[in-house]
Parts: sequence; C-alpha cells; structure tokens
Amino acid sequence: MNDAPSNPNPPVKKLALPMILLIVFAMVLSLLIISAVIRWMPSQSSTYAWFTDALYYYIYWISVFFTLLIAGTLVFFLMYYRQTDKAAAAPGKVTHSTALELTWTIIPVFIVLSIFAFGFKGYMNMAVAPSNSYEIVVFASQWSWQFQYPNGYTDSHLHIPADQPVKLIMQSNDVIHSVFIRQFRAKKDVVPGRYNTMWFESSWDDAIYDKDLAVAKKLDESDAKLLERDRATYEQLRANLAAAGTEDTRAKAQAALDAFPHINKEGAFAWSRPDPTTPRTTDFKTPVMTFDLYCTEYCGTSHSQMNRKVFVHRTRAEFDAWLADASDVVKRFPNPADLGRQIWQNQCATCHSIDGKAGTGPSWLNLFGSEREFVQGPSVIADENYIRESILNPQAKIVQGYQGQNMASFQGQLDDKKIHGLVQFIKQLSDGYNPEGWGEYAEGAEADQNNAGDASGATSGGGVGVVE
Amino acid sequence: MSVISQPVPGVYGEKPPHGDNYINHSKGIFSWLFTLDHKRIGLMYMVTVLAAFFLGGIFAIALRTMLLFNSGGLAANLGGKSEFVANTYNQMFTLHGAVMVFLFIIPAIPAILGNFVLPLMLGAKDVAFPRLNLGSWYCYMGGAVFFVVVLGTGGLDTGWTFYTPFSTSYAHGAVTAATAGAFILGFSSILTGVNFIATIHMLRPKNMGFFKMPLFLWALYATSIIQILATPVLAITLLLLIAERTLGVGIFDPALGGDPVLYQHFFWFYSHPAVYIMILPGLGVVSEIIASFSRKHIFGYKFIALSSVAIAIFGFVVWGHHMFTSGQSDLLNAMFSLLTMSVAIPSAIKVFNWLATMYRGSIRLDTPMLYAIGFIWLFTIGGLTGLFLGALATDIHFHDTYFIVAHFHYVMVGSTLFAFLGGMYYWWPKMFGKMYDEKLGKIAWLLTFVGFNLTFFIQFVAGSQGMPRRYVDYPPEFAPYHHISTLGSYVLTIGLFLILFNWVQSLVKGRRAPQNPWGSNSLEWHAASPPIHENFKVTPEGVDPYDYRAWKYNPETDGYDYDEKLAKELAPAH
Repeated sequence: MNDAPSNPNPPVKKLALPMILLIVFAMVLSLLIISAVIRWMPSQSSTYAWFTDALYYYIYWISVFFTLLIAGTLVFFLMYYRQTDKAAAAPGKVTHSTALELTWTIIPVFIVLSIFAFGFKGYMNMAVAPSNSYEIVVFASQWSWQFQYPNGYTDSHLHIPADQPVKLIMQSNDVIHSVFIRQFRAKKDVVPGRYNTMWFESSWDDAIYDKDLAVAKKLDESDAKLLERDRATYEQLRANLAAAGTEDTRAKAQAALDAFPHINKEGAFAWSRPDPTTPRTTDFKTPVMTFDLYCTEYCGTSHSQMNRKVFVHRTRAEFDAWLADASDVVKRFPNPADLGRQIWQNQCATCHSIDGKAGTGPSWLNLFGSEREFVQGPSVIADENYIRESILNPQAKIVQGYQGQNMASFQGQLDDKKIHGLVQFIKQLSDGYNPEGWGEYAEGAEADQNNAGDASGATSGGGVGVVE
Repeated sequence: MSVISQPVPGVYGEKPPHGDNYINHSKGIFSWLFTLDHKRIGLMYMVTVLAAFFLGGIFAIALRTMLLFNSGGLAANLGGKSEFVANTYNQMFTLHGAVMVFLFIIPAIPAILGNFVLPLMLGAKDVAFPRLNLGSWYCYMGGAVFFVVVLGTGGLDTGWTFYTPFSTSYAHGAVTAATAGAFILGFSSILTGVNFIATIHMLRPKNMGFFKMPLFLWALYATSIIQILATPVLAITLLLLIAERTLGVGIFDPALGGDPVLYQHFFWFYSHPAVYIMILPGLGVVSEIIASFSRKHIFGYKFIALSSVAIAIFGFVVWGHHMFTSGQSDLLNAMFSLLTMSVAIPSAIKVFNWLATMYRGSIRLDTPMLYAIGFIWLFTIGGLTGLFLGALATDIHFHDTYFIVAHFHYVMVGSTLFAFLGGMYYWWPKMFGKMYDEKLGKIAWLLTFVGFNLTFFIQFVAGSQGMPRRYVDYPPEFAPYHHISTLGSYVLTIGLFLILFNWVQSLVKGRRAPQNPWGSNSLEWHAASPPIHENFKVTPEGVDPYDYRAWKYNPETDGYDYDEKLAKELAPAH
C-alpha cells in the first residue's frame, strides 16, 4: 500500500470510511430528530401527567443536545484527523488540562442535580394522596384484578369518577404484581404481605370520550354483522336438521348443530361477542373514558393477560349511579348461573376451563356430583360445600395431579351471592343439574326478567348477550 | 507485501516469535485442563464464554421471533396452546437473561481479555495465584453445568432476577439448580477478582507506579473490588432463597412471615454493582483502543483512572433505584435518586476525555477503533437514557417497560459487547499471532452496529408509549415496534456470525501478525505475538503506556518496531 510514495495519503481514500460512518450516524441521528416530531409519550389523562412529561422533555432535550454534541464532535474528529499513513505521528501533544476537565465535571453535576430536583418534586406530588380521595381496595392475584368499592361491590375492571382524586389501597394474594396506567403516568407494585397505595385524579376530556365512542361503535357494528352471520348459520343448521330424512343424515345434521359454538345447553341460539368480559364505551348509560391497566411486574404464565380496563365516569353522580346499578347483582342477573359465568370469565378462566381441558387447575365441566380424588386423602363427591371450601380455602383439598399449584383464597373477596352464583354456574356445567334461581339470596328484590337482555347496559357485565 | 520477512524482534520478545510460544509450548488435552498459564486459562474462558454467548443468543432470537406474532396468533398456529406459548416465552426471556448475565457478560472481558492481558501488561510471568486462576475456571464450568441441568430439567421461568415470592413458592422449573449455579459462578468471579487485585499490587514491574499503569488495569482493579465486595452478598441471598424454597424457611415469602422487598434489596445490592462489573472493563478496553488508534497520549489519564474507581464506589450506593415503585419509603426513593445521579459524572468525564484524546490525533479506523467509536455512541445513548430512569417522576412511568429494556441493553449489551468485540480484535494478533480480515471485520461491524440500534432504539419509543416488558402478548398498537426490533435482531445476528467466521478464518489462514500491529506501547506489545510461555525473556520495566513515539512503522511487516535508543532518549521526560 506504500507503493506510491508520491501521494501516500490520497484525500479520497482518507475520507471514504468516515463518509460511511457519517451516513450511519446520520441515519441514527435522523431517528432521533424524527422522534422529536412524533409523540414519544402517550396522551395525558391525569392531573400530574403533565409534570412527568415536562420532566421527560427537559431530560430529552438535554440528551439530544449532548448526543448531537458528542456524535458531531466524534464524526468531525474522525473526518478531520483521519490518517491512513501508518507512519504518521499525531500532531497533538496535550495530555491533560485540569481546567477543561473540571469544566466537564462540574457542568454535568449541576445538570443532574436539576434533573433530580425536578423528578423529586414530581414524585412527592404522586406520593401524597389528597385527603378527599375516593378509596378503592385492590386485590391482585394470578392472573386477575379485583377492585372493591366502599359498598363492598367488586369489579374486575377499575371504575373511577373524573375530576376527583382516587386512592388505591392495594394488596396481593400471591406474588408481586404492579398497577400501571400509562395515560395517568402512574405505577405502583402490589406486594403480598403489605398495603401499597397510589393515587391519581383523571380529568374529563370530551375528545378522548369521542374517540373511545367512535372505536366502540365500530366494534358494535362489526359485532352486529357477526351476530347476523352466526344467526343465519344457526338457522341453516336448524333447517338442515328439520329436512333430514334418514337416520344417518339426521345424526350428521345433529352433530353439525352440536359443533356450532353459539348454542346453549338446550340447543337454543346463544350468542356472545368475541370479548364478552371487556365492556365498551357503548355499554354504559353515561359517557366514560376508557384506558388500559397493565400488570407490569412479571407474575407467571398469564402475566401479559393480566390487563384490564379503567373506566372514567364523567361526574361523581354518574359514577355513583353506575355503582348502584352494578352492585345490584340480583337485578342484573336473574339467573345466578349467569353471574357465576361472568365471575368465571373475569377471575377463574385463566386456570379453570369449562370444556374439559386441564389447565393450571381442574376443568369445571361435569365437576359437580363427580368423585374427587385428593392428594391429602379420602375422596368426596363434589357438592355445594366442597365448591365453597375450594373457593375459600383452596389448599384444604388438592385434587390429584395439581400438586404445587398455588391457588389463593378468595376469602373476603367473593361474597355469599357471588359464591352462590359460581356454585350454580358449576352445577349448570354438569349434566343433570339445573340452577335454582336466587332463593334466599334475593333479599326480597324482584328479578326483572325484562331487563335480562340489556343487563350489561350499565354494568361491566358487557355482553351477556342475546339468548333466544 | 508479498514477501514475508523475518519478524523483527522487539526488546523483550527477542527470540523469533513464531517458534516456541504458549500455544505450542506443551501438547495434549491435559496440558490445557491443568494449565496454570494465565494465557491458556484466558483461552479456555474464551471458548466456554463464547459458547454461553451462543446459547444466550439462541434464546434471544427465539423470543424476538415469538414477538413477531402476538401470542394469540402463535397459539392459533399451535392448535390453541396459549399456555404453552406463554410458558415457553417466559422460559426464553428468563434463560436469555440468566445465561447472558451470569455466563457471558460478567466473565467476558475480565476472564478472557483480563486473564490474557493483565499479567502481560504488568510485565509479569503470570497472575499472583495461578492455581486460584485455574480454580476460577472450574467454578465457572461447575456453574455452567448447573445451568445445563436447568435446561434439561424443566427450565426456568422466574426472570433472571428470581424475585420472591414467585421464585420460592410459585415458579415452575429448576429454580434451585439455577440459583445454585449462579452461586457457584459467583466464586469464579470472586477468585478472579482476588487474583487481579493481588497481581496488580504485588507484581507491578520496576518504574510502574499505580499512575503509570494502563487504564485497562485501573478498570480491572475497580471491577475486582466490586467482584470481591458485592458477589458474597448475592451468594448469601441465593442461599437464603434456596433455604426458603427447599426447607420452607420464611425469609422472603410473606406467607411464611418474610418480606419480598427485602429480597429485592439484597438482590440489587449485588446486581446493581454487577452492572458495573459488566461495563467497567469495557471502559478500560475503550481507553486503550482510542489512545492507540489516535496515536496520541490519552487525555486526562488521572481523571479517567479515578473515574473508574468512582464508578465502582458510587455503584454500591444506588441499588434502590431498581425499586422506586416497590413501596419503599419516599425518603429512600429520594436518597437513591440523588445518589444515582452521581454515576453520570464519571461516565461523562470518560466520554469527554476520549473525545479530547482524538483531538489532533492521527486516527486509524481499523476494526478495533470502529468498535470503540460504536461504544461511545451506544454508551452515550445508554448513559443519557439512564437520566430518565434515575429521575423519580419519569421512572415511575418507565419502570418495567421496554424503555428499561432498551436502556440496559444499550449499556450492558451494546456498550459492553462492543468493547468486548473491539478488545478481541485489538488483542487477537497478540493472542494467536494471526491477523484477521480487516475488510470483513469492517462489514461485520457495520452489521452489528446497525442491527443493534435497529433492535433497541425502537424499544425506547415502545417503552415511552407504555409497552410493558416480559409480555408474550401485546396490544396490536405495539406490533410495528416489535417487528422492527425483531428485524434488527436478525441483522445483529448475521453480523455476529460474520465476526465468528472472521476469527475462525484468521486462525486457519490468517496472515502472520507482527509483534505490534497497532503501535501501542503497553507492555503486552513488547512481548512476542503470540507470547512465549514465560511471557518475556527479560523482565521488562514500566513505560508510559501512552507514549507511542518510539514505535516506528515497518511496511514490511505492516507492524511497528521499537526504537530502543529513541525510547531511552524520550523516557526521562519528567
């Protein structure tokens, strides 16, 4: 390479590699600059979100400045001081400069101190809940949330009134979980063996509501189409069965009908939408904003399924009306087995199937009345008492083959009505049993049969659906 | 160029370097398994640590590929086995983290490059305790065996952090074997640390005070302090965890009267300093490379040297910043946030001093230098994004999202991996006496650099938007980020395989390396390439490792020859 001593260091060669470097850096830097234009943070919906974002952009622009400074200097030096003549010595001789080095020690000290102070102020605002906060108790367990309101009602989604501070008092039944609502910039771990608290105040925003409403309406439309399609299919299957002449074709048509997913035990058309456990904006009588609530502390198999919705009701009065409606389960669910089904969907389905498949826990299909074998010893026939015990004290009798699965107790989280609903639901899943209605649990309230269809309307029940 | 001339001997390498050397000094598998030669132990570490890197990489590619699909879509293709998909994913990220942290990143630079170079840099024959050194390799292998057992007996799904009470009472898989493996690996780390500290104190040559040492040794010294002081805490923590899991002793599980947050304190008391075990040696490597390839004295030697020690010390008092959302007291949160900010200062000093070193240098852009430059970029991004996480209000939003994932990959993976690869290229000619293919090296650098940034930069955006980490299933709005990230990980993988190919090819048909291909002046370049069994024929004296003037370029060997007379004239400068 030194065969051409006349020009050992041609400028083109000297610059080729730095040019590539420059292009690469430019690509990555343009990412940075593009990202300054796009929104980094999600929309803000709590009273302290703006502060977090202000701090975010403060650090962000400091970072962009220093990145440009460092990368720019680096690339400039690479191009300007590039040397392809390996024999050449460096022109510079300076080995240190205490003044310069102190400068770039002291300036960063002040910058990071300002960042700390900024962050600390924002944090203290998040840490101290206002005294007029509305308190909601949170139970976390693998892999569901329960939000308990002051009147004792629990819901698997979080409902809060807008423009009022809300304080969550949180406990875990098993491992560590974490509540994260990104639009609120709020997060706190839920640790077993202690109460952790967090608070936030969501501000009502018509624009967010309008957006949520548009999304929900679109989903409703597509559901309506699905319903029509499935109903047509069902009627076709019915017609096939009626038209079947021979024993053989009749059996085939019956099998086809049995395989159709949208029928109930009696063979009638029963349809529910694809996401029955997640209510939509259109499911409520009054306007709500909808946000996601994520579990952000890794908690096992279904960690990523442990997300629910946060519904922000427009006013405290509307929230109270929703709560009163939602709390009246007897009115909402004339048939307690339907309440049981809803509880199952929200809190039990991740571990217990109803189609016979073994999961983390045993399936509930044909469980009632069957003989259960236990790790601890003598078997029993599954009756109401057994189911009640399994909910409240799951470790008392562990079914063979499920050793080491740690179901947590639901003591204090499911009241008698809910346990009754679950028992009735499990009974319904076994051949030869039919639910008995509310009986003594009805407390004199009249079951309003006409309300059955839109029971989901004002509640988180969402999509109990059409039953014919 | 076509004529391979006789290698020109250096001062201390005297005999022809391609005759007797440490590789061919003795033969047979036992001469390696029972060797006390630090260079051979370094090579044995290299083979095993790279194997672990390969394994951890497989897990990474598996999990990134799973994230191309939402778990729902993946489960549908597998016949509705969503639980299977979720459990597999949880295993993948746990094993990826555990293998990469305990078996690759922590030992990579100290155990491979440190073992090989440290005694050479001191002009010593070996480390202070050669038998302990061999013992540390066997501890590493012992720990690795436990991890192989884990793979064969149900895997691991706790996350590499083993958080309680999930790990003690709820996790599937071989938690006890994995923690026992990490426990044993800790001893490997401690033994290396003890050895390095003793060697640096006892075996420095004449004329080499602490402030005449190469900066890589300062970095290794600081690293060793952390290894010795922090690793025992991890060992105790893991023993307590094993006691709780196997004997039901209630320490961390509240059901047994324990406190799960106590575990986090114990764990991060080790694991935060461990982050500096990972990055500090990398900072040392980069200091060596930047000075060498700028052919100019390092700028601000004392600031760089002491900033390594400062990072090691500050690293011990910031662990609580992993727990801002755990419910620890507000006072602790505030203290840890304030202390965390201190780490930014020595990091900034280093970056600015490297830039100042390049100012008015004669910059060569060979592959090691490209990695050092890549390091500055990645370390700058990784360091600055740390500010978002050290500040309390923003950390609340970013904790356990992809922002964190991106941040620590920029620091631990990007920076440390780039420093490791740069160091490997830099010392490769010394280790094997062969040159690698420069052009291939540059192409592979480009692929790794672009691939890495593509994989992880986008994760900052995903994390800002609120994408939680450790999710096999994600809301559809995050899909584009995951797709780009996975694409980047494939580019990165191709780049890494190209590097491996380059190294293997260089061993098979690489050009003979000159004694000093870069014109560096630290003492290892005064030894032959590869060095003889005893390292040096004559015990050398300390020199200014950043004074390159006495090395004159020799176009015949494409290396540098030492002008002893000139060196003597230059030596007593002050």
